[in-house]
Parts: sequence; structure tokens; C-alpha cells
Amino acid sequence: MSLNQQIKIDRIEVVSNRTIQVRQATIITDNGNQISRTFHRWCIVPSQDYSDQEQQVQDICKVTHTPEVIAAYQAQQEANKLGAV
Amino acid sequence: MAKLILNGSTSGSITLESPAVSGTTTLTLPTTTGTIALTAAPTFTGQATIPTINLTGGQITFPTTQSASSDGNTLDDYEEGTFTPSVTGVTVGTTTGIYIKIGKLVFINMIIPVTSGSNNGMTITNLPFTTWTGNRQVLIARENAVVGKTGQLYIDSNSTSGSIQDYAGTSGGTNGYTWIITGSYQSA
Repeated sequence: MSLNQQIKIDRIEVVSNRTIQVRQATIITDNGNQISRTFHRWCIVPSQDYSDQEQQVQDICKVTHTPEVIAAYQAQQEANKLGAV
Repeated sequence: MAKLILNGSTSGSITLESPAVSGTTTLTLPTTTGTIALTAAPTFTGQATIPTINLTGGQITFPTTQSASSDGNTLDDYEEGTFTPSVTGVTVGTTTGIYIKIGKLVFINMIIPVTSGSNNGMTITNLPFTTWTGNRQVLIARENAVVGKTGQLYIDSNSTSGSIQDYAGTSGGTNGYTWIITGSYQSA
């Protein structure tokens, strides 16, 4: 038996409002055969600090989260604010 | 018993060629009992039309990367995992979250312990999937450490965040509160 654990970002998705959805996979193999794959997710919205992300995520944030995109996202969030009950 | 055996030294194949003029090509398999023996993990190409599928192995595996469908009758995704809710407006302890995604439907469960705050605006961010662009959505919540109040997580459209409030519409950011939030929402 030779167990090995690999943790890697296996999906980076950009949705319509330019939120970036990141999925991290934890893969456990035994002699090369996968015995477990679990996921952990997080999102990065426009205007959010992404300096602590892995470089591949930072690269996508850098080209996606332009000032125009950030302004549009903030305007959308402002419009979405919960109104009076 | 009749047998047709292809016993090639490296591989064997049967090809049913398309009719030159009209008609269909048919390979008839057992209609009552019988077994079609396949290799351990064969790969099929194209689209099969099968009236009923009996999963004796009991599992359906979707591809790691979703093959999104715009067809309203097509199930195109299944995924389960964890996420870490972030909170603004108050200070919280260790937050935990799990999700199950079936198609566009996302089920989540979160535990949010508030360690410092006093009814300031409390917003939960970093939901695992962006909500759809349609109506706002509401998930059920319960404060489970101090008063046992019911509440709700009110999620904006096209967003990964929402505000948590008690039943009276007051922000749920009170020191000592622990919120359990459970429910489903439609993702983008």
C-alpha cells in the first residue's frame, strides 16, 4: 500500500458577473488508484483582495477584475440591497 | 449453441455498416435473459437512447468538469464538498459549511458562531456558488446557542453573499449567537 495525498485547484470558473468560483480537490490514491476525491470551494468577487490566492487564480483575477467590472459589480450589489420590509 | 468468436492477436471488432440506400442497421441482443459481457471499463461514444436504466452498481459519476446543458430535462451536474463561510459586520469563530450541488440546485448547511458584535449588519459571504440572476432567495436559520430564535438568510440575486436576520428582520450579529443555516438555492 502506497497512499498519496494531492491537493490542487482543479476548477476555476468565471460566472456572468465576473465572480470567480474556485474548487480545490483533495485526491487520495493508493498505488496510483484513486480511492477518494473531496472538494472545497470558495468565491472571489470583483473588488475582493486576491493577493493570498495561488498564482493561477491571481492571474485570472487580474485579467477579469478590471476597474470597469468592479464598478459594475458594486453597482449591481448596491441595487440588490435589501429594501425596507 | 452457436458462437461467433473474434480471436485476434491484438484486438477484434464488429462493424455494422450503414445501409447504402435505406433502412437501419440493427444488432439484436438477448431479449429475455442473457448477458452482454464488457471489458472492465469500456468507453461508449455518441448518445444512447435507453428506456430504463437499472443501476446494479448503484452509482452515477458525472465528469469532473461539468458539461452544462441548456435543456430543461437534462441533469448535468452533481458535486458535494465543503466551503468556509466568511462574515462581515461582526467577529466570528470558526465557521463551517457543506454543499451538495445537483444540477443548478445547491443545498448548503452552515454553522456561524458570533464571538463579538451587537446587532451590526451581519453579512455572510463566500457562498460556494453564485446565485442566479432571477429572484432573491431565502434560506432558513436558527440561533442555537442563546435564544433559539428562528431567522433567515436573505440572498441577493447574482451574488455569493446574503444578510442574516432574526424572525423580526433584525440583524443576527449578536455576541454569543450561533447560527445554523440550512437550505437550497438556485445557482447561476
